[in-house]
Amino acid sequence: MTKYRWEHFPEIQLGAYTNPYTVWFEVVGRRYKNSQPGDRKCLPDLWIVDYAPKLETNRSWRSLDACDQLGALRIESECPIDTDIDTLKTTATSGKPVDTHTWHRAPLRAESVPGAYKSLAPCPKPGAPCDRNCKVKTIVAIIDDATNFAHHRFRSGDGGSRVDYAWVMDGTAPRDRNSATVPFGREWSNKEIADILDDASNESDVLRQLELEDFAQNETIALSKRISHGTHIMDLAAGFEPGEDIGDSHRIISVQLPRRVILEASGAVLHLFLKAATRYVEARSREIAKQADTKSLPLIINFSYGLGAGSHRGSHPIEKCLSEMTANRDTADPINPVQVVLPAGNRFRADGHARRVADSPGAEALDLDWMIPADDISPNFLEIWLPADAGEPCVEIVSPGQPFGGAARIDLDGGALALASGDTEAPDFVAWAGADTETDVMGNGIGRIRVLVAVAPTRVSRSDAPPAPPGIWQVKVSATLASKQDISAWIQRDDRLFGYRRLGRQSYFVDKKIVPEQLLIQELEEFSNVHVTNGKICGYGSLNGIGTNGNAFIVAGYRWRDQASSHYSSAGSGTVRSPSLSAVSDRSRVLAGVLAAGSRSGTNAVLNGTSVAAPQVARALALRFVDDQPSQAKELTSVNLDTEQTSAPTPVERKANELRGRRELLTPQDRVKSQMAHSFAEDRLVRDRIG
Amino acid sequence: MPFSTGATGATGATGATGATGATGATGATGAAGPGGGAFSPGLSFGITTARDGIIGAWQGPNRNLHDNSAGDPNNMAQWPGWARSYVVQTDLLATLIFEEVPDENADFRIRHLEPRNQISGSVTFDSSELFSFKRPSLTEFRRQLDYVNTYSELRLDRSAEILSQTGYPEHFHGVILGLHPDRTRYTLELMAMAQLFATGVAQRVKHALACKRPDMFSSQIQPMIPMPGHGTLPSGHATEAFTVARVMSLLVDDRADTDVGNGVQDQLMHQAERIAINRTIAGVHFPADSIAGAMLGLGLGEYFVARANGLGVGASRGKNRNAGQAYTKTIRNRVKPARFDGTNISSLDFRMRDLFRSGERQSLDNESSVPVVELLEAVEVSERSMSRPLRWLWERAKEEWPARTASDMW
Repeated sequence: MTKYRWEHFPEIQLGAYTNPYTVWFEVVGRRYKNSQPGDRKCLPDLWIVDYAPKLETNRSWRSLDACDQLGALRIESECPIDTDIDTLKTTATSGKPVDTHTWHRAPLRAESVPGAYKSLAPCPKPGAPCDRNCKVKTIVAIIDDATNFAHHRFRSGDGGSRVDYAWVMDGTAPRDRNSATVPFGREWSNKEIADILDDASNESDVLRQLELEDFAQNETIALSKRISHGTHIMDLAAGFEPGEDIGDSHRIISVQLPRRVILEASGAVLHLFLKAATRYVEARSREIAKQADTKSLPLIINFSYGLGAGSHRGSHPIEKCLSEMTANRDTADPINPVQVVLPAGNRFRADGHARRVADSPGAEALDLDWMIPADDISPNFLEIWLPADAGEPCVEIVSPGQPFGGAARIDLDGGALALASGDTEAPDFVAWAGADTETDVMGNGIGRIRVLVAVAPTRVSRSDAPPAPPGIWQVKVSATLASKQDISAWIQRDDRLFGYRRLGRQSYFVDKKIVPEQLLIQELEEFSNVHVTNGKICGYGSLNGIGTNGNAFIVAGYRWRDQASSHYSSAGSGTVRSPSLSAVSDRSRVLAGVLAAGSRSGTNAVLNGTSVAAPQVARALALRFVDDQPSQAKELTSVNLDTEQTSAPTPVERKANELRGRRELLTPQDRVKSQMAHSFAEDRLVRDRIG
Repeated sequence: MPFSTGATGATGATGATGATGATGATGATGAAGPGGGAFSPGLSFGITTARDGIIGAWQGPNRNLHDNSAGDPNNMAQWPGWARSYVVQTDLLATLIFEEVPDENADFRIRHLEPRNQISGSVTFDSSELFSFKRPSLTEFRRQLDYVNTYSELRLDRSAEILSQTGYPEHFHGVILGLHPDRTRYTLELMAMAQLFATGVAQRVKHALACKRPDMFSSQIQPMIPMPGHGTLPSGHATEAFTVARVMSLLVDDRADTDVGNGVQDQLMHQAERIAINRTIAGVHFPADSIAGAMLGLGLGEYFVARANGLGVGASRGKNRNAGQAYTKTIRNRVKPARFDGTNISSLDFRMRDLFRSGERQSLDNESSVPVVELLEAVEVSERSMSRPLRWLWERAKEEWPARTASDMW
């Protein structure tokens, strides 16, 4: 039987590094670098580096040339900083944190990176957007994956395309680097798309020419599947029949994140790609505004993606990226207003969140039983967040099968833990636990303390790296808190992403004391117990880890038929903000999802989740701007949408409604509505049959 | 099942394809009424005892009888579908030579025999190449193997199609044309015959080229359906589906008084492409197999129609955008031969549009502009080589498409 022992690194202190996921990967995770089943070859080791991180705090970057903003994000073939354990140890003496905030892995194919990018031609000019005569009234930017941006729902009345720019981040970079208009991947301009649409004999041909359906690529080819996430989302946000006048006033920017970035559901390699996406959207919106010659062009950004963990205080690096798009925008700016729409998340019942709130000052502990399933070929991550001024913070971990009293313990200002497998002298680490504090871009500690517990895959089939033991990991975090302060835990999502093969199995918290009857009661009461603050597993507070910033529209999902929250739709809590409103994400209890474009033109497909609720709000916002071009500064920030208010008879229900974003329900658009009416008939049939 | 009536009975009879189409036999013949199908032992015994009860004393011949004229194609109407199928298949194969004489240019050739002179009962034939094949090397197949792996990702998305296309996927063509065993029985029979013809020729080529299947190249292919035992190139499914697509589109177009849009033909071609690709997704074929199969199938489709003397410039496109342009660009009695050179296959993926575009078959080069599929100057497949039984069936099938107009065809 394999023996495990904890090793303690007292030198690696709080503040030794700024991105625990990068450290985890460099110290432990690299050996487990997973490939998808059937992957042909390992990707090259590439890193994305932000050479202008301070632009974030210096708002003048908006005035920089578009290419400079984008060009500051580069792909490198050498790891910027050595992050082995020895380096981490030395930071204790140097006092300078290993700055892993401004770079992370870039899981791209070599073909996506133009050669010698460092010397990229100065500011290659992007293609022109739409025709100058086109009446642009609003821009809708969709950041997603698997998007058929040549779908007929995004075509203009004249047979061209309403997509002005599309950036396929893991597309094949032009061989001539001087012609590259983006730092990696492939950009398609409106004219290129229109020319292909004009020239191609059928849609397969279009997708082939756009390199979106190329089976020579060592990638998931999502657009060959019946349903693709990005196409569905983009249709809900900005799809119109080519003849509809209103469509031509909606211009579209599409960004497809690299498929392997999307696939890594921990979000550990997402931040800088998302930053690249927002800078791109900003830069290309300006091109459109220039062409349209308008003083005020609204921009709606939809990003239907979610993470499980995060500070949940609006301070995730991705949230900062997105909020800088919306916050403090100058009304003289031609791109104005800007709205960001995100889904609330689908983790309400994922058993991935627990928190303990101090009723009175004193010692508190959050005691967790974290179930890590066997046969999981991806790592598992647990984040626990404490107040910055928590006294004597301490973590104790008991891995599965460890003898009684075998808990490893670290005081958070003194070290990290690594679980070593076997008796070999060379450490064979299978788990890592350490703490860091939120920092600003200058590396200053500014906020709460995060404990990351990262566990290697429990099944390793293609390397000699040892698997981590599956089963219940007991994690106890204790600290002295002031009144109302909390210790909160979130598990990163690890489930199968739509359109991809399953990589991971989702870990979850187990409440050993709960009995089946209680589960049933919770279910019947629609999980209305909104005041769980005692460390029990709770759906309230499970909000999307990148959707907790106050500046964004966070959209929950509801069932159209009975106006109840979709069972999975994540919620806020006393300490986590609530979703802004709800949009339809299921038609009824029986009929999941809503209909929108399938991968190919002329097809419809059903997809559910708060992912499909968000773009309906994006659409409503865009339509609102088309109808009523706001001119006063005051109007720019508040937009009245067509919503219905729900009422609740009891205070508890009112509270539940508020936390689940159900107080306001977005009235479905006509197209969605007519589908609903149709579905309703089906629904009734099914219901009659079953009961 | 009842869909595949008529000639599919023939496929059952041969059993060669292992296709589910076999059951079709009961459709047209068995269920057709008295005289068809087999008697059960009970029925047989009953008829025997009933005969004893009713016939009375033997009186010799007592019915007026008009003799058939020998060789009259109209006699076809009297035969059951499975027998008609044998008649036509035998005719079709009679003018083909399968030539295993490997040289630098080819490993296998198929030639057409064109009757020339008939002098005092003896006929001389000219032979001209219709198809030639040069097999890919193991190295070429290895390069193609990556595709079998990447396509495998679509297995779950396509499983319903793949599982229902293990036999002849006639419904997948039928739904495009709106075929029905009562309304279009001869069209169905014609389709089945074209399919069977394609199967036979494809198998002959497969045997000659003897190329190994993807699962022999890697233990990780693990196909999602039973791996067929015969060779991989050309793909039988691609050959059959493209033969059917070509024959059916020529059939519905081969009427001077109609103008059929290319919607039907396009759908048939795309369906054929999808059927072929589904086999790669399933893990049983390389894209190269589909390229060779599509080349062979499209050519065999035209050859089949030429043998029914049905080729020719098709109807004009009428209301179509390119009005006035002939839709079917075939020339009566002429078929373009095609060469497949698998040694140049490189890492080409299979796309229908590379081999069939604007109503015509196409040559295909690889990335380095070296020919993989090459169309040659058309050769003669004249009325002298017409199969009169096939012609009879072709005409019956055509009669099933009298009232079709452009508006409901595209």
